[in-house]
Amino acid sequence: MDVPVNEMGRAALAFDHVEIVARTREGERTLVKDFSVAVAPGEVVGLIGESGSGKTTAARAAIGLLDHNVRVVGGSISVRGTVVHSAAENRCAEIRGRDVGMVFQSAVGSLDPLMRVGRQVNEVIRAHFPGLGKAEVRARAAAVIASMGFEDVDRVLRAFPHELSGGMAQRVGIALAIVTDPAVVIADECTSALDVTTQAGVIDVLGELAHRGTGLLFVTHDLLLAGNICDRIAVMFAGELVEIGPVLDVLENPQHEYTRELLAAVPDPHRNDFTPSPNFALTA
Amino acid sequence: MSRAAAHIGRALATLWLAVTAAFLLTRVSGDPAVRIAGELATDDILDGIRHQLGTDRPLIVQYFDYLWHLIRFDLGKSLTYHTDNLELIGSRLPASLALAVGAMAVAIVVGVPLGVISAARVGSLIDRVVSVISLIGQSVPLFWVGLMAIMFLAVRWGMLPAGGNESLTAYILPTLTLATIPLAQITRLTRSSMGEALSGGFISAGLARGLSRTRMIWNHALRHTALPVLTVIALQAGMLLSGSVTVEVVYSWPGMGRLIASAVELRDFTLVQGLVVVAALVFVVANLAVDLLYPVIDPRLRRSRS
Amino acid sequence: MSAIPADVAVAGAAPATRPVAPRRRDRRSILVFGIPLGVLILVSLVASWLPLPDPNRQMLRDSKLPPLLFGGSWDHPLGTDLLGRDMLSRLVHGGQLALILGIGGTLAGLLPGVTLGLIGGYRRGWVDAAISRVVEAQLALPGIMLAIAILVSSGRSVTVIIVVLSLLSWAQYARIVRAETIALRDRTFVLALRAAGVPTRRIIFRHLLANTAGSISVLAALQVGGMILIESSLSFLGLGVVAPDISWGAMLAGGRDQITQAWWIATLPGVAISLVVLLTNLFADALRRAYDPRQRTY
Repeated sequence: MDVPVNEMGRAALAFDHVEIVARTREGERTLVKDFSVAVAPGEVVGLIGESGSGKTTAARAAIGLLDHNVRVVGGSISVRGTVVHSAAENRCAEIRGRDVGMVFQSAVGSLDPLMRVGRQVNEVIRAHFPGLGKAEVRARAAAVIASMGFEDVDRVLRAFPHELSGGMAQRVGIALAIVTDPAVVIADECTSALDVTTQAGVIDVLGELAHRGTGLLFVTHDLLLAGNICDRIAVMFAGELVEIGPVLDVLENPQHEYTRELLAAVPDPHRNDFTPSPNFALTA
Repeated sequence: MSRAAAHIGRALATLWLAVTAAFLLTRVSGDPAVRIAGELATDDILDGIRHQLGTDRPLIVQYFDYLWHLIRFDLGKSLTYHTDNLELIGSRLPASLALAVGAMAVAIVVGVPLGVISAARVGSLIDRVVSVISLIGQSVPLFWVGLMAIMFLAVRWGMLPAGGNESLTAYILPTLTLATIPLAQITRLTRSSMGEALSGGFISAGLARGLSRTRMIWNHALRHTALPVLTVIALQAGMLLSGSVTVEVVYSWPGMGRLIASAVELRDFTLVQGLVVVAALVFVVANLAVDLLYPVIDPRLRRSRS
Repeated sequence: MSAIPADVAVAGAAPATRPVAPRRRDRRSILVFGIPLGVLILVSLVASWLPLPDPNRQMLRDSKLPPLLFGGSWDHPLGTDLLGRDMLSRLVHGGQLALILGIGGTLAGLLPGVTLGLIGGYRRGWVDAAISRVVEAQLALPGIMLAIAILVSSGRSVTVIIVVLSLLSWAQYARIVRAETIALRDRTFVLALRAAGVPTRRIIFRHLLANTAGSISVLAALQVGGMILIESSLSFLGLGVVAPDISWGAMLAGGRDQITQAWWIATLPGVAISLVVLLTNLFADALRRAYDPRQRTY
């Protein structure tokens, strides 16, 4: 549906007809169906959808963070050409954090509150580059934090997570995601908890990543925000991909009814005639 | 710094309340003289005893006298042993302390790993077995467990001494018996706080960044269990010291617990009062220590710098 | 000692304020443990009317008879003690006391504790500060020591013991109820009630109480077992009820010297205590899992 098969191997991240199912007490529930999206190196792809659309599930599948009762039962996910899904636990660990980085919605929540930021950055570095000496590890930590635009790098490293503001914490989160120079970074609603001005700062940093050649999968429910940063946009509804295309095309000329609904739902001071269509009412 | 001062202030206030309670409870709820001499004693005898105890003076006077003595570390004299209560209690304190510390150590060393394993494998066989044993441990009376242990291990099979604290092996049974309750609590608490930590965002985030599960458990989540364990230590400190009354009696352990048991039998109410004061002191100090340690472990509780 | 639920002992535990409907599995657990408990309570209540021999009747020639499976007879299915008194009968009557003291002690602690917790949590200010200090002081005092101090000087009777038990347990109710009340008082429905002019007393004792009832019940159920254990410890030390009242703890103490010759005298009461406390704890645990969703780990 998206990128031709022979290009999958060159994509930073590729979902190929992925199907994800959850096994609950009431039976099996399909969370994601026939999902195919590819992120090229240096490309920013937005994954838009409401909560429950399956976008977060798909994103987590790429990094191997699915709950134990949730499984990829069809298709494949590959990173830089290597298949990731159904890999043994160990291989998943290698790829997680190394070739795929993730930035979380709650940055402060993604850090251990009892440990200083610097130590946590060091820890991630050491986990991926076991041969490095102490000084080298600390140098790299300082470098990656500095690359986030922090002026007082030392202060950030010595701080505890709760001492950082939302925006600062999120930039630390991004730093942790890119410390291994991954092929692709998945940003899972990472600006939803921030106010608009801080959001802009974080978006800038993410944009930088793309310039450096890292692929970015930008998962969000905010269509307009995605429009600011993405090259292409994919829209999900009830576990399925309903539309995908270059950002300007999707925003100005949406093909699918749901995309049009999403756009129409954006508050416009000049209109007051929006009524949501019953077609897209989600049941729990 | 002022936070520490607040804790210390509160500890002192609590100590004062405790000391006052000890004073009131041994006096107001009945006439100690009658307890000592018996119901049939004549008024003369009762008056004599009251004078000796000082209970014929107005309550307020007795109270200030009591406080005055306390500040100078004078706990009065034992009615039966005719020695300084402070000396008497002091001679028994080490034995009780040894028992309490040993029991707590066992509880931590065994309980924390058990809690961690249970939390890491929720619902597994180990988890359920540990839960059941934990529950049973909190349901059985300690003195009965001790008695059964003595009956089998000491009397029938002669493996361990039945009482006293002469040899090192004599420490085994009493320590293990006393450890049952804190063990059960620490296991449960570690399990639940570890469970919470494991489902917290930073664990999955750490895994996403490539850190191993083992590392997340032992280097990160475990630290989070320190707080609740500390809480249990605070709660149990006094309990161990006083809950060890029955255990000490059963094992004839020469500690404070057995002292209070015999003081009870001998109606030595000044000794009883003195023991309550010392026990309260230990309790308050243990709680204070834990309160002061909290911010050291959890940086969120520290006063933020400018 | 009193069984403090481990979870509420954790600093800053947020209380569950919304009543949740229990799941079927948990409802079943409640019945599984609740029914035997109910049966036990019933049996002990009608103990005096059961066809059992007089528990205090001493027959010295029948002293130290073993229980049924160890060489005894149906006359005394659980054997006799040092003075020839029937063990089964004594155990049943001791159970009567254990339950009276266990439940009575729990209620005696519940009433003042809940009241003070509600008042302190709702009013805040100096009232709350004062109550909190007393609660902390109470929790800081070594329970058994206090109990001993009181019993030594004021004699032993069921009343005094219940007072002692209430002293040892009220503070925990106060602490939990206070925390929940503080969380509840800012809720919309409370503000609405106040705006409507509903008198404070009614707000506290009808509405806030109803909302905290769940946590209170769970705590109370957990406490019953603890009360029984404390009471048996005190009896063991010779501070429990006086004859002719029968207490399991005292029975145990009496059998201590006979451990080698008549082990059942000390063993059976201990088994009884353990079983009853275990049952109440299991019941309380089932209650908690049913009404507090935070406890569910699966």
